[in-house]
Amino acid sequence: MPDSSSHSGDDASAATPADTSGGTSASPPTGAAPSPAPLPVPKPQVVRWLIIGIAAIVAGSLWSWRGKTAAQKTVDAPITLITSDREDLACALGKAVGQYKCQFRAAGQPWPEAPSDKDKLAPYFTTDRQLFLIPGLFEQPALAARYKSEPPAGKPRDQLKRFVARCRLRLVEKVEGFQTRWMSDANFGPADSAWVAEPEDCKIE
Amino acid sequence: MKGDAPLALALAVMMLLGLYLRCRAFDVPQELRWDEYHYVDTARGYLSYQYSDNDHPPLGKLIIAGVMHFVGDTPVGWRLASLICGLANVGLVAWITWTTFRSRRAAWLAAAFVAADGFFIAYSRAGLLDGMIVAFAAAGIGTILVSRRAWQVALAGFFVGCAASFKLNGAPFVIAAVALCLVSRRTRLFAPLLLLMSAAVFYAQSALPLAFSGRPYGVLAVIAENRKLIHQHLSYTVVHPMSSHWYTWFLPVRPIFLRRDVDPVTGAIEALMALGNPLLWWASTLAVAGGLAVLARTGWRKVWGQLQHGATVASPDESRVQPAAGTDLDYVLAVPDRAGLIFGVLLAWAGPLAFWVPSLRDAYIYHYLPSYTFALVLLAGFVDRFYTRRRLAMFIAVILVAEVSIFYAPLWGELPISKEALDARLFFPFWR
Repeated sequence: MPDSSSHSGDDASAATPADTSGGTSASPPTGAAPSPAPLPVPKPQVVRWLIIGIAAIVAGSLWSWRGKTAAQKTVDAPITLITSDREDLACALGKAVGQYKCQFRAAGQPWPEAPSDKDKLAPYFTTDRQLFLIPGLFEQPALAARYKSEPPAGKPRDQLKRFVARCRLRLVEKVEGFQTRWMSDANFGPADSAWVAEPEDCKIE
Repeated sequence: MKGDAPLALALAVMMLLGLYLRCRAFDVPQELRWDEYHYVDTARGYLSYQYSDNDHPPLGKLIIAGVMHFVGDTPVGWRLASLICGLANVGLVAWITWTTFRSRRAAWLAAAFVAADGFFIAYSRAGLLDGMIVAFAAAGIGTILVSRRAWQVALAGFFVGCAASFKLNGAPFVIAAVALCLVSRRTRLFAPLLLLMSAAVFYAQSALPLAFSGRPYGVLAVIAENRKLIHQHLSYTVVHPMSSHWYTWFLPVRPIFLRRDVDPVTGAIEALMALGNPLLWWASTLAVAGGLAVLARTGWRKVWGQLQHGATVASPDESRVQPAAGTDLDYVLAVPDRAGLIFGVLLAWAGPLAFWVPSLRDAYIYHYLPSYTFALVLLAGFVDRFYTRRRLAMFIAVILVAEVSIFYAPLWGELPISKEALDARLFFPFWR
């Protein structure tokens, strides 16, 4: 098929007087006094590869210039809890987030290889109703101690004392399409998006 | 493109960027956004054999329902048809550009422009109908531009009939296709076939939901349904805050956020914006002016002659016979042998725009998407012509287009972005 781009190199366009994009000048006229050799002029194709290289660097900056978003961000979160939440709260998500997984891959379907308590995600609300999926929250020393001080076994939920764990959360990944369960004998229900966040330095209030 | 590796690389990167931005986190958000509510709800109704009063003809929702039947009532199911049409648009626009300018480089440029333009990306990511209109309109206009036989004309009729069956603002493509068919001596006899095919498609898709919901679906019933639909549109008096007049679309004054969610934890914004690449947007309007200039320089008699004899009969070699030319602009516009085809592309640009000129109901920026498609065809053709004369300058221009696309990528691919970085991209206050 014909192709109007049949000028295959930049020098082709140099043949036209109007072109300024490329084409090096011819050699000096014969018979003239020897003059210093002209400085080498980069070939247009080389110039364009250089432009590509510069453009790639600029593109990298433009791509990453999105302001401060979530990557590596930490937030302070007051999480509202009772000790029975350790067993009651669960989530269902069909993928792992790093080494973390919900207890269930879908509603009522546990993973064949259950995640360890440290890596098991569970849903928690902050006092201002923000939802997080946090791995091993009750493995944090302060929470483990609080759990020991008020074991939930055999006690009705409404007799357990509600408390707030103030933790620093390191945001890992935002996930959507998961389900939550708020009591061990309750059904799963759909949830909005939430951050998977690693807990640090939890303190009980 | 042979022997022009830097340009080939730049265009390949633009196309890969477009593919990535169309497909990344495609199932996010998991809830409906913008007008997806209307279309997916209707599609759900169709899946349970219920009739639904539509704002628009049923074809788009029937397609969405068909995909949902196989993929499920999931975010991917809602949006997959748009993605397929959005990917097809890249190839279709390249094909029309090749047909019009007979240049492979122009076709590759067009493909890269469409691939890396946010207007097209946004409508590939959302379960909306406008990208579908573009796909079928481009297929129809492309087909009629190359039609010589009855079956080709019928096929063009099928495509433009579909374009009109997504939303009524696709109807101008039927008129444009009929006009192009009528003026060509080779195809004018088949014009009734084109109209018949378009009408048959429109009837079939209108009748189908009536039929499976147990309602009368004869011709009179379909006419009554569509009269009701038109009356409903004409009676709209509410002016939506995101609506805009057609003559503001060239700037544009009011691009639309199809989604704008703020993360309550981080404050980061995830947005999907129906805003084209500003460089392509403004240059495409200049390209339309360039197309008109080609027609003016060629003269109406010659354009008419080309249209009569079938615009594609000009030998491809003719397109390379160029006057010794004065200025670069003279050279770029010196495509008299392509004037008939450029007229066809201009007609496809003007038709859907003209639809909104006398319209009393509120219009939106996305109503310009079909016109914009054909403006990009012209832009790619003229950039290709410029490239022959000003290779380095045009190369830099293409690179700039790619850089601008990368800059705006977060708004088209729903990547998290801070408020400050978002505002820096939306430098006109009325874009925010």
